[in-house]
Amino acid sequence: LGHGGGGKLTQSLLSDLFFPAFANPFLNQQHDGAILPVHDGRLAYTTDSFVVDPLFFPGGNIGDLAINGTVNDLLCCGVIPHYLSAGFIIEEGLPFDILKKIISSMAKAAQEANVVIVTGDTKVVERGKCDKIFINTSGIGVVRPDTQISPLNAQPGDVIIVSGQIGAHGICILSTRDNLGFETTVKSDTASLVDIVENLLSGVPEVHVIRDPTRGGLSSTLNEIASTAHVSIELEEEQIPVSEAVCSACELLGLDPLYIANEGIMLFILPGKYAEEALQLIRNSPHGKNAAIIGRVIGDEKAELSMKTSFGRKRIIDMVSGEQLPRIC
Amino acid sequence: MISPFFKIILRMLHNYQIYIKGLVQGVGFRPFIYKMASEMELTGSVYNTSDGIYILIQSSETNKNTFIDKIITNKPAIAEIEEISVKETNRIIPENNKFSIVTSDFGNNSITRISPDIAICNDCLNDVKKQVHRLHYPFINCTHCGPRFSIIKSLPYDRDSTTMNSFKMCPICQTEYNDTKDRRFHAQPIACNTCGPVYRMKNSQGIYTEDYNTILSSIKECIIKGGIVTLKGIGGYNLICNATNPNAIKRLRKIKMRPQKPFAVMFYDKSQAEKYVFINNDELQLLTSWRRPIVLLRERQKICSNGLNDGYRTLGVMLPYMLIHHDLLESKEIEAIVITSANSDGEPIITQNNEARCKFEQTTDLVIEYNRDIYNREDDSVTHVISGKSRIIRRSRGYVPEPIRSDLHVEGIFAVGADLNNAFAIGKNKDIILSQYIGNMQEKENQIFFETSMFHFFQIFRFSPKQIICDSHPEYFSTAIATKYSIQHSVPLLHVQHHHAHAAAVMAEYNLNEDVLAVCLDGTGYGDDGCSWGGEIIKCNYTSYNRLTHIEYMPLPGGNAVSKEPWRMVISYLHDKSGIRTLYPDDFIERIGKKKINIIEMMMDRNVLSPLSSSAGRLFDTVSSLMGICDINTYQSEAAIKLEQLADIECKEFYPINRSNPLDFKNLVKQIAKDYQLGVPISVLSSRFHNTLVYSLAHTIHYFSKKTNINKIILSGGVFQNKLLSNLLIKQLTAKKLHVFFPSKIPCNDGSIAIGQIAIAAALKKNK
Ligand SMILES: [Fe+3]
Ligand SMILES: [Mg+2]
Ligand SMILES: [Zn+2]
Ligand SMILES: [Zn+2]
Repeated sequence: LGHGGGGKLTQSLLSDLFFPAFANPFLNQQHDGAILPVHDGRLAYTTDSFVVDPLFFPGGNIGDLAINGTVNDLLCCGVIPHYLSAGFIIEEGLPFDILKKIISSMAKAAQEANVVIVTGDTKVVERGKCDKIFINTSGIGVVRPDTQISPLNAQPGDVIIVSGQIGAHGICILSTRDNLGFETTVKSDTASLVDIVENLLSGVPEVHVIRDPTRGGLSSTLNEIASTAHVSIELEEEQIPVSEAVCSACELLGLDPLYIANEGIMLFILPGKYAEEALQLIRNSPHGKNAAIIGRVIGDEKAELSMKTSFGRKRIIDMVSGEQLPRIC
Repeated sequence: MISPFFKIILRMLHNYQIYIKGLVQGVGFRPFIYKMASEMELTGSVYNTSDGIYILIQSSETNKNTFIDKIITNKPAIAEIEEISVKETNRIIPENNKFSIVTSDFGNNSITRISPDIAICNDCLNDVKKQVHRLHYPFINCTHCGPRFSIIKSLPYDRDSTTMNSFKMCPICQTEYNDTKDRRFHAQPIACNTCGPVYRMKNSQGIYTEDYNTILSSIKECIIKGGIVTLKGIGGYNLICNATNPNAIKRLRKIKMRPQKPFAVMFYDKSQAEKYVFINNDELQLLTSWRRPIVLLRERQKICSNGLNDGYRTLGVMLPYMLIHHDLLESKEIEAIVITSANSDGEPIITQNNEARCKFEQTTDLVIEYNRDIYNREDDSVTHVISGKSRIIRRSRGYVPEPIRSDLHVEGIFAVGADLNNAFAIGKNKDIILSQYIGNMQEKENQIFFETSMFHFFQIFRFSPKQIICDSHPEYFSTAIATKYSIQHSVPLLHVQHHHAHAAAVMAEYNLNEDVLAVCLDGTGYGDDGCSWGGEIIKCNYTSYNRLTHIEYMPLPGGNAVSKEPWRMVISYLHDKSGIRTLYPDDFIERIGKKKINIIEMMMDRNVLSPLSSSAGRLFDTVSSLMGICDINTYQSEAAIKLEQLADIECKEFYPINRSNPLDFKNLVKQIAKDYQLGVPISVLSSRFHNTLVYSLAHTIHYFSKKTNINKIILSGGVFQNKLLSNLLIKQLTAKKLHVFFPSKIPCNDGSIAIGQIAIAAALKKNK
């Protein structure tokens, strides 16, 4: 790909690649902006930028991630996602094929999540000014009537449900990027979880919190919730679903699955009395087969995250800032 | 009418006030003063203040001098006098021609020293056989022995401020308590069969008995049969079983979830112990001292064929410190008992009766409680002797809360220590008071232990922090606690580098307020460059430090995981990026697997999760796993300890040291790998490793000593728990005319970090 500077090249990218791939009535307006009908109720609006190395990895690529990430963020607000925007910053020299693959993955992911890309932008920058391709997506959706979902709502008596096996995305990226030669390849879990959330919200009268534990994994997300809602959270190590492959990779790498990024996992916090019902609903969706109740919220002013280990002890799970530095003397 | 003659005498008498500071409360000091004053027919009074003892006497000058000399020479065995000041005073002495003990006076901010818990004394052991109201009374004590720190809630040390406050003295005890000539005069925990605490046991029908003899014989029977007993001790509950029974020990390991780590053993006396261990004079002194710690001793023969201390040539030994221990072992029907804290390994020792029942009624055969509360939880302390001096490994019962007296003004400084073997410390005037051993801060229960003890210390010592100090490791739990406290209470926070704190702790013990060279060898500490340090030679004083050299950096493939899995370090030391054939021993490859080794190599090559470290602990791990001694630690430092245990101490061989960089040990490890593969015995290789390491260190220290003109050398860090290494290095450095300072009253491991943190903070403050 050559350096375009807003000229002919960008124009041809748009007409040859983006428009056909994302085709929908709003995008086809070919206006400076998309003009969208106003819905009743409340709108939710979110944005996220995606940079990942490598661009392609087992289970997906940067394109899927960009769609699923924003869709899942909207879902966390109890929202039905409708419209997405997509912005691309492309490094000069990126092979056209690669871009094409990414775009078609995006189109497919959008279709699966039942969202449309209504506006976008593309910039091609000089070599070295960005790493291959960066994508930003923003999304708008309508908040489901009668839902009040917020991290503030977590309260004693609630249970924590995770929608699937954790740690796959982070391990996949790490082992692909550095080609560490694990015996089994771990596939990224990237997916949008519209059906899980829809099923759950229409089946259970009260869901307090929905969060996607992406960067920093379960530990960061749950620590955040604990401190926002001023509650403590207690996990059961044995209940947390982790695939065999992720588990053994983590062991070798010296990582704890609780700290590893996920891209197709949701956390639900809801009253204990709906726990079993909710679990069934989640398990009905294809991405929710391995869902599990992994812990509970307790009233404790310390607002900390702890985990009962398989030895029956309680460990504090803190938010680790960066690389895990040796602590043990 | 006063006769003229009497008037003259009166003029010769003066009123004096005498202040004594030190360990003078709860050790029989006031009765001692009373007795002496009465014998010398002095009038006046004595009382406890919150910072010591105050004596007022009317006396001639000569008599006063004799009196003071006698105080110093005849003081009670456990008492320690740190300061004694005498002044003439105008204070009126009541003219009743008597000397009296006045009840306690609450003083200013300063505090007196609180005695640690004291093992039952010989006089009391006699009394239980003679005194009618104390026949077989298990909680007998006197002014010279009994519980102290474990039961104290506030100062001054009076019965009301201890957990004895719920027991009302019977008339006989009360009389003894008031009788200045009695051995129990003002013994705060005084008790007898009528009025004191009692043991309780639930029998098989679920009915409680308080009869001591029944309880005693039930315990004996249970232990002889191979059962496990949960028994409430001084600082918390213990689990005990027959030390000669492998099955009982196996079961104990399951209950405690402690697969490997050796247990300590209690013998009735020295001669019983000597059947199984060697005891030299220094060790005997430690073993029989009133502190009654566990002492690590060289084994003569195994007391238990397997499961007690596998892979060790040393055994942790202690002697009875409660009457019930004597009573269990005296008849020698039981050779020795394993005695360990009642908890899951790594968690705090249980102190509450209901918790003990709930955790151990199902899993053990007998639960014995008593009805006095333990206020301050304590483990048994662990010690050994290195180069003729006692060294402490775990500092708790019998030692806490004895302060380290510094020449710095440390008032108001609170230091949280580090994350492993945690203990915190507070500063009062010039005293640094270290808390009891707390443990690994990642465990939730230990954090609660930390917070409770912190609260108790603040309350007992009337302490409120003006400054708080933590390690510079950004991810320590202790750092998080300190940060939170600092914000919540608006107290300034200071971060201190780990190894500087290690050095400063020893400087504080020996009052070295000057430039020194410190050799800090440990597992890990957060370095200023973000790497994991642990094999450091630094030049420092309290306020600044300069890293002179360090063990060559090696990657830690897997970061944190490395300290649990020594096998990773073997790859780190042996793998060569340049593709030269690596020298992994065949059996190492067999145990670990080629695939795994490959992945670890790739992690290092690609710099994935492989932070750099200069750790000495990891070097020991490497050599240990390399020779198949220990690939995975089931407890802290297992690989390193077992490596030391296997060394042939007679072997003087060593490998040539690396002249260009003596602290680069890659070649040493390669050499050991080669010789191991060739079949050289592990015991020889372990010795060569220790010897070479010592030569390299001594060589380096000597070089820097000459270069900096400093001849005071500090040895600190957990690796110095290694007796072989310590003995050898001390010997070589001393031979080079260097003054070696090794922590004795405080642990060399992270248990003393808080002391160093306080010393550094105090010195920095003074410099401002
Ligand atoms: Fe350390
Ligand atoms: Mg213990
Ligand atoms: Zn006594
Ligand atoms: Zn009595």
